[in-house]
Amino acid sequence: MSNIPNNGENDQSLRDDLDKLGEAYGQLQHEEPPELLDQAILNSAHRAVVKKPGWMQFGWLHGLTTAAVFVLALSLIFNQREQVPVYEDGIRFDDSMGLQREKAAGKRSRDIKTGELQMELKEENAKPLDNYQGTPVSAPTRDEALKAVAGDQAAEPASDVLINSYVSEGLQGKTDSADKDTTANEPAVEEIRVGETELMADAPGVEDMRKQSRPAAIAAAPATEAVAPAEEVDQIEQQVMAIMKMKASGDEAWITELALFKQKYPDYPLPDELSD
Amino acid sequence: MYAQTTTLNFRGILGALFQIGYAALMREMTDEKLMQRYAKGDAKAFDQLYARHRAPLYRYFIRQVNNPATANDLYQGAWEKIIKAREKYRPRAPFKVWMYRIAHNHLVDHYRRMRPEDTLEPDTLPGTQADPSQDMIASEQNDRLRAGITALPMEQRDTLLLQLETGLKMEEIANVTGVGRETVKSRLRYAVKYLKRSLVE
Repeated sequence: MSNIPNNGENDQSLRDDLDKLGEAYGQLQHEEPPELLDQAILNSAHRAVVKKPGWMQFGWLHGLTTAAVFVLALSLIFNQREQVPVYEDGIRFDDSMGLQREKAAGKRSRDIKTGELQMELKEENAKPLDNYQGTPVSAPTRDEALKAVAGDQAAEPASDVLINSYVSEGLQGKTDSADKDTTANEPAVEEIRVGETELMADAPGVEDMRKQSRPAAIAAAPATEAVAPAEEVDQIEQQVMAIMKMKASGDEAWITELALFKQKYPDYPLPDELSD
Repeated sequence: MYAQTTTLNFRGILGALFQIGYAALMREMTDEKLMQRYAKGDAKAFDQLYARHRAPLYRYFIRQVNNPATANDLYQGAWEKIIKAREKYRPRAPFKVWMYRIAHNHLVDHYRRMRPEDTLEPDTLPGTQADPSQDMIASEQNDRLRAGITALPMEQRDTLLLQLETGLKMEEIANVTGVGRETVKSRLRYAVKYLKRSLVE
């Protein structure tokens, strides 16, 4: 039983002793591990070498895929940024810039409309007023109206503000920070503004008519509050002036229009010509 | 239907033959080959390896600590270490030497963790329970031998059990325990002398 090499007498005696001891040891009970322990160890050994699923074997492939997706996403984002439209002035499109441009464009169109409207009003109103210059009917009425308006001292500055806001509509009252940034629109606005001033200077009758037809209550209102409903007031004034023109031209439809107007704006103080 | 059944049977027979042939091949394989195969993922190789070494390794532990519960823990822990270290195994030394070195180190770790009062417990060993049917003389001699082994110093007991249980050569025992050949011989000599005396008494 012993594998000790025989290197001499001592080794031989040791070997003999070990052989005897081995025999006695062999008679001892041969303990064995419990079956459950065997099973647990074998299961553990089998689990340790069980092949992982295919997708887990390629851990590097997962990393590569993730990196590729990341690079693709980044390239897409940068590509989209490069495709953002650039305007003629070299300014890249931006949300805030776009809003400013839209505001400026809207304002420009409103200014142009206002200018055109003023021109139309001038042309249309100039003729009847010229015709009425020699007539005894229209002159006293206008004078009375002017006196009534001029009598109210507090209304004078407010009416100036309203007229200015009416003429330039938003250029003074609605000026905001966005307008300052849009320097490209400034020349056009200035041109319109100059044109309007000239028109106003050439048409004193229209201004008088406005002063005459503007209600004292609205004219007396503070300038800051008067700026907001300016468009509505203008529309009402335009309707009143249109009715007056119809009456002056002898169109009988002015009665119907006036009735509709009174129905729509019952509290609006009509000029003396129409209130009769 | 008949063709399918025939094919299945044929495949079953082939599979069974393959299993038998493979098991026979495993039995012929050396421990080193089996361990290498297991390291490459062949679980059947481990089964064969385990079947060969389970009893001696278990006895090595239970004779060392004389406590079945502790022996079970040590035994399972040693096998877990062997399983974990499967890829580090190189067939430069015999598998048995490599395996018992792991077991020996595991045991030494156990002794280091153990408090001084937690010494061996000879009374808990299953073989120490008196069996009326057994030959009284043989039983007494076995008990003496068992008690003598338990009473040996740890180093001598370890060396003696490696000699008696595994049949390793002195150089191999020296390799397992990490001491010189002469130290192994000396330990064996002292252990044998002590056991002879205890058996005669």
